[in-house]
Amino acid sequence: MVRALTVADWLLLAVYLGGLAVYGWVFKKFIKTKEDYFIAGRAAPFWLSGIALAAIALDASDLMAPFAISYGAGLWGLWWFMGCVLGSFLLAGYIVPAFFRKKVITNTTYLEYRFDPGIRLYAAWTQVIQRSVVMASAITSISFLLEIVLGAPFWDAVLIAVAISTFMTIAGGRFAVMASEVFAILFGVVMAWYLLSLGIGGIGWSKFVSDVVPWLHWVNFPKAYNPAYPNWVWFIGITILTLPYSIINQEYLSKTLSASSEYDARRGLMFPNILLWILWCLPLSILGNISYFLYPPGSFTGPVDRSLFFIIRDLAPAGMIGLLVATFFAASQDIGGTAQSVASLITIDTYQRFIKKDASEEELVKVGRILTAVIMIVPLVWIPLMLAMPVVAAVYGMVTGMAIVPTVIPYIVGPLGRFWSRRSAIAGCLVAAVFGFIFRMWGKDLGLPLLVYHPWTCGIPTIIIGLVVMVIWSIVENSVKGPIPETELEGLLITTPGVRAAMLQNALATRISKIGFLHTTGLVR
Amino acid sequence: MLEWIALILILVSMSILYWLMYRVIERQLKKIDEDEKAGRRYFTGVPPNTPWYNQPNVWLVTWLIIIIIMLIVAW
Repeated sequence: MVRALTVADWLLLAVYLGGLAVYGWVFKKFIKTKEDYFIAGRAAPFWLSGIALAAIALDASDLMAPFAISYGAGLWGLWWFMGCVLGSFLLAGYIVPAFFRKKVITNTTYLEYRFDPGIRLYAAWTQVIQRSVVMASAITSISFLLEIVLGAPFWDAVLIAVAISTFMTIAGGRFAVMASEVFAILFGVVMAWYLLSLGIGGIGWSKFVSDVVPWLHWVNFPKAYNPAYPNWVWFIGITILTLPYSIINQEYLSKTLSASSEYDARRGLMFPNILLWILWCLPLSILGNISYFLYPPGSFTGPVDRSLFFIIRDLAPAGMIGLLVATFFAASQDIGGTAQSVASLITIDTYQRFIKKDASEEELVKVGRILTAVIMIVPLVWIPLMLAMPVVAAVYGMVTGMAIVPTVIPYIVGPLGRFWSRRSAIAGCLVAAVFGFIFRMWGKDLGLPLLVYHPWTCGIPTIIIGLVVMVIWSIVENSVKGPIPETELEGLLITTPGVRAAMLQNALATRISKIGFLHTTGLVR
Repeated sequence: MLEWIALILILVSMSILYWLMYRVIERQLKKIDEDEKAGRRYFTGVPPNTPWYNQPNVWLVTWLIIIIIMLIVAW
């Protein structure tokens, strides 16, 4: 049984999607410089930057991911985002101030200042891969919706989803992205809770309390997946896995850098952002557990993500289908935006930096446009793999865990001290990625422990290998060449010992008004 | 019936929110211009005389406490 959209539903969808584009056009007058275009003129107050950050992190795939990971696994879907939260804390704590002081526009530029051009190139391309997986999940999410709820064949639905989000990017443009995102995320949070109410209504309150509530614990995860390891191993694995979501993500960073000062950026990273994540993921995590009882394993084929759309199909009242479809489209509007930011990484960090250094503005824009269109096609490669998985997000786990997680190490350790040598970052990341690939592909055949090749835990060995290689490489390089001169690292490090003490005091909220933690002579020089 | 109510609600809420956003951005750009003229635009660190409850690190510690409590309760 599929649901048909009524005239009013179509009208609602048209008004909503059209409204995003039309209202967005009003904001065009604010765009005067390149900075205005890329990072909203560094003008956003903390709450606006924070809400836009959450909107970037939570797209259509993330309506599905917390739900699917929690399917019969307690509140595990909520933990899925704790790595991103931790990443946001690290950014807010000490990484973002360095970005502000160096006035970078792409996050990879920082790596070139701190380490070398090689790691910049590598980080840009790992971001391209990682973002393409995320885009693929978002497209899959929309396609499931169109297929299950409205009855469009899956691959037709994929094409419709890609076409609509490309159109929205072109029509809506980037100038109003922030404003439309604020609406999309607030709308999405409301709809997530509404979906939960549908789920509770569907299963019945008394059954919800007696059957589902006992499942709402973190510790149900291993029971549902694999009891081979204690909980804390899975916790660490998944936290490491989702660290890159906030740290190696140009779209995320561009929202942070759009804040009017580093003070606003840090507050934005911490408050509205994380609050919205919890408000978004909590109802969907609970709904995942409800779905386990409504649509038990084996009652349908394909990834468990699909059962979210069964809930919409079977339980949503007639007048709400259009609104629910609109929610998913709203949450997917950044698929095109992601393609654009990925294109900017290739254009600025690769083409302009390494291939054609004297490229004109027009040429760069042209390259960027072609790349945006090409990048919209790349995610389609991942979709068949996603359909073969028990959970769509497992592909993210595998790809990120084996090759992408180590790229967060240079961002995290880079500002901590002068010890890390120039070439250590690229050496550590490459070695870790090679090992990650071997573990993932042949770990099982080689008789290695489950931990090194399981999608949720494979980030643990790769991040350890990356870190160890970086330490060894730095020791050798420092002893051969000597440490990097302090003058070259101006604005990139936490070095002054007094600052660490100030940081501690600041954290404890003592002497608060007098602490110079982040003044010019403070944390990052 | 429900779909028409939803349609009206979305139109109204969208208009209000976009209008608010427009005013905020307008005001913010004006403020930034003033700050730039007064030479306090690109300050680093926390602005002087920031009260304790607006300190980013206080927020960070608060979040950590909330998350730890969440973990303990839901374990």
